[in-house]
Amino acid sequence: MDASLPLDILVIEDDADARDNLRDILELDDHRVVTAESAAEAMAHGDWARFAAIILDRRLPDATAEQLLPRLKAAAPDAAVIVITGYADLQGAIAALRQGATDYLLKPLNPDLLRTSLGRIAERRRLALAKERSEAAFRHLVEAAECMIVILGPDHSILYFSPFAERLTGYSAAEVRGRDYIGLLLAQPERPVVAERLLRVMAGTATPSFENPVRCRDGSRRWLAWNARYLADYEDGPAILKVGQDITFLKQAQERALQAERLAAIGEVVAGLAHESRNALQRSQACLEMLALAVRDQPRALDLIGRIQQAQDHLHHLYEDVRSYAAPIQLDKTLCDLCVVWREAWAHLESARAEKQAVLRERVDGVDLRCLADPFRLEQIFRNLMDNSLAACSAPAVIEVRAEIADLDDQPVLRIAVRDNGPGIGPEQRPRVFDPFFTTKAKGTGLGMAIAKRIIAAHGGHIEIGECDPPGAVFLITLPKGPA
Amino acid sequence: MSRSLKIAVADDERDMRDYFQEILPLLGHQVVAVAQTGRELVDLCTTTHPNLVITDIKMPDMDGIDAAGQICRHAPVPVILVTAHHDPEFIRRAEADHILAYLVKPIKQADLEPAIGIAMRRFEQFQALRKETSDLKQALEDRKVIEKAKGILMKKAGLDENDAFRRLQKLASDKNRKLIDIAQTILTAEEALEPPRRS
Repeated sequence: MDASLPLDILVIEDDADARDNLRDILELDDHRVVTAESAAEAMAHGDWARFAAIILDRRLPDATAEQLLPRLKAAAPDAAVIVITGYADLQGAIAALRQGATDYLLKPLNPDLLRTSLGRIAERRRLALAKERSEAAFRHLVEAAECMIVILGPDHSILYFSPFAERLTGYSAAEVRGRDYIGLLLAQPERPVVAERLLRVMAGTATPSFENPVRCRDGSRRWLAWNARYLADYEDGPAILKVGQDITFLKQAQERALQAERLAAIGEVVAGLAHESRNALQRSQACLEMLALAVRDQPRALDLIGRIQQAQDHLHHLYEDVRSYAAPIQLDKTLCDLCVVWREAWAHLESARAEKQAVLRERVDGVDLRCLADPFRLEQIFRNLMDNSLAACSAPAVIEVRAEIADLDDQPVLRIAVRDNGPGIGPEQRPRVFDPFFTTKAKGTGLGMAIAKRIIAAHGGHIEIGECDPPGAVFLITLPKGPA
Repeated sequence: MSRSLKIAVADDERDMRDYFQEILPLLGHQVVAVAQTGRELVDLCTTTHPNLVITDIKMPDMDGIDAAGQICRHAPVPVILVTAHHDPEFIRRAEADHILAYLVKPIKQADLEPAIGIAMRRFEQFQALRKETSDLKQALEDRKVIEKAKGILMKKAGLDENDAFRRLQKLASDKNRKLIDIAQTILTAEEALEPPRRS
C-alpha cells in the first residue's frame, strides 16, 4: 500500500543492518528518514515536532521500549510510534500499546506490513490535519464574524462566547464560561421569553429569528437579532448555538424616527392649541379690561386685575412661544445685512437696556455681513440672546458682537459671536441651555434658545455655547452665507 | 388724532362686541354699527356710513375680508382686521389697499389706540394722494385743450403764440369763465365750422 503522503520518520535501531534496511524501505516510499543508534542519541534530538512516526527497536543497548516510550510520547505527542521486536512477546506488545505505541511489528520486518502500518498512520495524520484545518477555518470564521455567537448548554450555561460577543458586552469569554446566560446577559423582563425560546430550540422546534436586547457589563443595552439552532453534539452533549446580529443602531434609528413622528404630532396639536387659545385669551382680555372699567374706583380690585393681567400676558407669551417652537418653520429668505438685523434687535430692547446702562460693541472689521436669511427670524434670535444677556448682567452691561467669514465644507459661512459680561453659563446648565422650557429667568418661558436653535438649523447653520474667559457667556452662530 | 370717528365693528364673539362698545367710546369714538356676521356688517355700513370699520375675519356667512371689500366698493373706508389667525392665505387676501391694519388677537386697548390713529392717518394720506393724482391728470388734459385752442387762434387770427394765449386769458376774464371752458368753446366752434371731409 502506498503511503499517501511522505512522512518524517525517526528510526531508533542499534543494529546497523536493520537500520539501513529500514532506511531503504522507507526512502523507497519517499519518506524522510532520520536515524538514531541509541535511546540517548534519539533523545538528544531536538526537532520533535517534525516527526509523524517513530520506529523504535524494542531492545536498545541503553534502554528498552517500555522505558523509552513514555519519554518519546512526552517529547513528540503527535508522533505515532511503531515498536519492532525480534521475537513474539505478547506481554511486551501489550505493554507497548498501553504506553501509547501505535503498532507492534515483528522481525524480520515484512516491508508490506510496515507500509500498511505507515499508511494507516499517514491516513490518520491526514485526517487529523484536515480536521484541524477545518476546525481552524471555522474558528476563524466564528471569531472574525461581526456577530455575537454563543453556545449554551441545556442548562443555559455559557460554553462558548465569541470575541465579538466579548467586545459587544464587555465580558471576557473566560469570566462568562459556565455562567448562566439568562441571568447574566438578560434583563428581568426578557428572561421568561428567551427561556421559553431556548426550550423550544432544545426540543428541536424550528424557531424563527427574534430580537431581544442583551445587558452589557456597563449596564448599557444592545439590541440583537437572533438565530438559534440545536447542536446535537457539542463537547459531548446537546447544546444551543445562538448567533446574534447587532441591530442597536437600527433600533435606535427606528426609535428616533418614532419619537420624531410622535413629537411632530404633538407639535401639530400644541401649535393648534396655542393658536386656538388666542380667541379665548382675547375674550378674557376684553372682559378683564371691561372689569377694570367697572371697578375703576376700587384700588384693591384694580390691583388684582393687574395681577391677573400679568398672568394672562405670561400665558399669552408662553402660548406664542410654544406655537413658534412647535409649528413648522417657514423661512422667508432675503439677502439681508446681519448688522442691520442685530441693531434692530438691540433697538427693540430699549427698556431692558436702559435699566442695565447697556452698551453694544461691534467687532466686525469690514466683514461682508450680507447673507441669504430670514431677517425677521434672525432678529428674533438676536433679541433673545441680547435679552438673556441683559437679564443676566449687572449694570453696566456690555454686549459684544463679533463677526468673521469662514469656510465650512467649502461653503462660505458667517460666524457670529455674541458675548456678554454677565456671570456666564455654569457647567450644569450648559447641556440644557437649548432644551425647551429650560430657563434661569424668573419670567422666561424657557423656549427662546430652543426656538433659536430650530431657526438656525432651518437656515442650515448651528448655534452653540462658546468657551470664553470669565466673566461672561458667549454664543456662537454659524450661518451659511448662501449663494453670492 | 383725537378726531371722533364713527366706527362699525363686527365680531361673532359677544365679549368682543361688548368690548368694542365699551372701549371705543372711551377713546372718544362713536360705535355706529355692531355686527355679528360679515353680511350684517355690509348691510349696516350702507345705512350708517362709518369712518372706520374694525372687523374679525372668521365669521359666519361672510368673512371680514370679503365684507370689507364689498363695503369699500360703495365708498372707500379704512378697515382694521382683528383676528386670531395669521395664516399666509389670510395675510395675502388682506393686502387689498383699504385694509390698513392687521392685528393678531389677543389685543388690548393699548394696541387699538395707535392702530386706529395710524390707520386713519394713512387713509387720509391715501385719499390725499388719490385726489392729487386725479387733479394732475385733469391739469394735463386741460393743457392739451388749451394748446389746441391757441393753435386755432394763431391760424385763424394770424396771432403769434404769446398774443393767442393773451387773447384766451382776456376772453376768460371778460366772460368770467375758466380758461379751459373758453378753450373748449373755441374747439367746438372750430369743429362746427369745419367743412365736411370727403372720405
